[in-house]
Amino acid sequence: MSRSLSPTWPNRIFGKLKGLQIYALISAALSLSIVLTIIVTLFVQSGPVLLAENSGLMSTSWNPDKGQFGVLPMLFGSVFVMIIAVSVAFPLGLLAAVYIAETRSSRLRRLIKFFLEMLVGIPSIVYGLIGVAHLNIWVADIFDLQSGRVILTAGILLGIMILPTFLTLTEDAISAIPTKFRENAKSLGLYRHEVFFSVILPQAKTGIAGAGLLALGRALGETMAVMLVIGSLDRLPSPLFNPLSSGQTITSKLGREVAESAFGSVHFSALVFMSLILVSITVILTITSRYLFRKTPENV
Amino acid sequence: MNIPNLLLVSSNQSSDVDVQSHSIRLDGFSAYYGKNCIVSDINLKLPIKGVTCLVGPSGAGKSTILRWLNRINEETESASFSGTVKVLGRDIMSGYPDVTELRRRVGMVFQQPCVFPCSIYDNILMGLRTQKLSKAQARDIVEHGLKLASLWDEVSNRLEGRADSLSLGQQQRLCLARALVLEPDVLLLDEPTASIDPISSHAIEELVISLGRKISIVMVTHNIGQAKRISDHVVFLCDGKIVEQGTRAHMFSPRCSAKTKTYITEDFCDC
Repeated sequence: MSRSLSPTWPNRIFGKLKGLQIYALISAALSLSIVLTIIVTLFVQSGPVLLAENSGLMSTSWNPDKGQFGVLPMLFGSVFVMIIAVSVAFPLGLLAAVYIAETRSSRLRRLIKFFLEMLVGIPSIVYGLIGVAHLNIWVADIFDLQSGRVILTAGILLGIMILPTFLTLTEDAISAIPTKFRENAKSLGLYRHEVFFSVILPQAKTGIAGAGLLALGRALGETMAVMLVIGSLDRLPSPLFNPLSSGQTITSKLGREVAESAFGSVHFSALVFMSLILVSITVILTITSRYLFRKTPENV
Repeated sequence: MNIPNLLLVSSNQSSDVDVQSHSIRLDGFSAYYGKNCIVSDINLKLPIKGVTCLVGPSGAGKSTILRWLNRINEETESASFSGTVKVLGRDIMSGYPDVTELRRRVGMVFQQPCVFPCSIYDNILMGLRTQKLSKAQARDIVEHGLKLASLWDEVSNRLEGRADSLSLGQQQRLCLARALVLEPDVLLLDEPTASIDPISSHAIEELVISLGRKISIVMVTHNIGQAKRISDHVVFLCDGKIVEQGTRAHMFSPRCSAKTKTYITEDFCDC
């Protein structure tokens, strides 16, 4: 006579699943609560500077001793450095990604991708040291400056840093377009560049835009490397778009002053407020890039 | 109005064709993927006009041969070939230094319909992008191409609509129309009806028969009934070699070889 399963088995399995479900629920809730805690903390800690009289948040003057906390120089510095970084990284990254994605040799593609992914993993302080040791000096020599610690140096360095991220994600977006599109276009007698611009790019553009936004997110959040080469001057460049002037970004400012400010002070609150601006921009970039990636063909 | 004479052999094409009695000629052709030999020592001559069906079991090398005829296979990593392949009297490598010229003269439609993510109108004109066409000319070409592919009545009121909103059968006919507006001398069809409904399949068969009276068509098919209906010439391949070739009358008669007979009647090959 064959042995039948005990009727209690389904209950035991169900019981285990229930336990797992509770575990998963707690984990999810914990993750969500951490994010919410960060956001709430940023808002709460920004309170003192937002409520303080004459803090001059939207001014260009930053002087904690006089109670002036103008964030505009840092905000402008962040955006300016980001624009230079994008100008360096995006054209180079796009061209390189097209070459890698459209090359026939999968061995070459794998090799280049391997090195790119290694570059993504290099700590930012290493890039910063290279910036101090070489880029800094080159910029000073080329533009005949006393010091190469200027916005341009920070922008170029940041561009080099985000290049691998942008390149590898762009290459993924282009490679994700099925081969059949290339074959069909080529069988119509289209040249390689026509195939890319007429058939591949229209389909990959949302993915490429998403790659750009993710790379921008990294650029915005970068602290150490920028801090080492930007010159740390809390004022707007003169003239305004002079890349050969020293400057300051939100992250480099935070990196320098958070440890010096007293917790609970208006000075600390002003720094937290800058963090809130940074997080807001990064969240917008991340949400937009996720939306764009969702529209790429591989996810259809 | 200057409407291209679709499917008529143009003057420069006829000069090639006049001196050649074959649209395609393979001598000692072998094809490889890496070190794997897919087809070996193929000798084949295909007529200037008519429908030639390549039949045989999966892995026989039919599509590989087809994909070399317009050099689309050179886009595949590790693909190579030896021997001589002549298309319209010219060697496909040395005779066509610009491969796009070869591909314009040797059109191709693949097994899976693949329309570009743009309008039906733009899909048809994709291969003519470099030609300066007036709006009226472009419109006439689109209309003529769609009529050739028996698609005009179904899509004439939505030419600006997205091509990927069409049914698979319609998409495949759009691919055919897209290839035909280039006025190819040779048309390669790689199982064009394998993934579409019987009605669309029938429409494509009708089209292939009528086109075969004007140009050379090489079609890969697993459907023996289809080969019997539309072919003028049949090439039976197995395991990378030609087992037998001949006219339709010969290949589907008791005079054909025992291996061909077995494959045709039992869909089985003992090569």
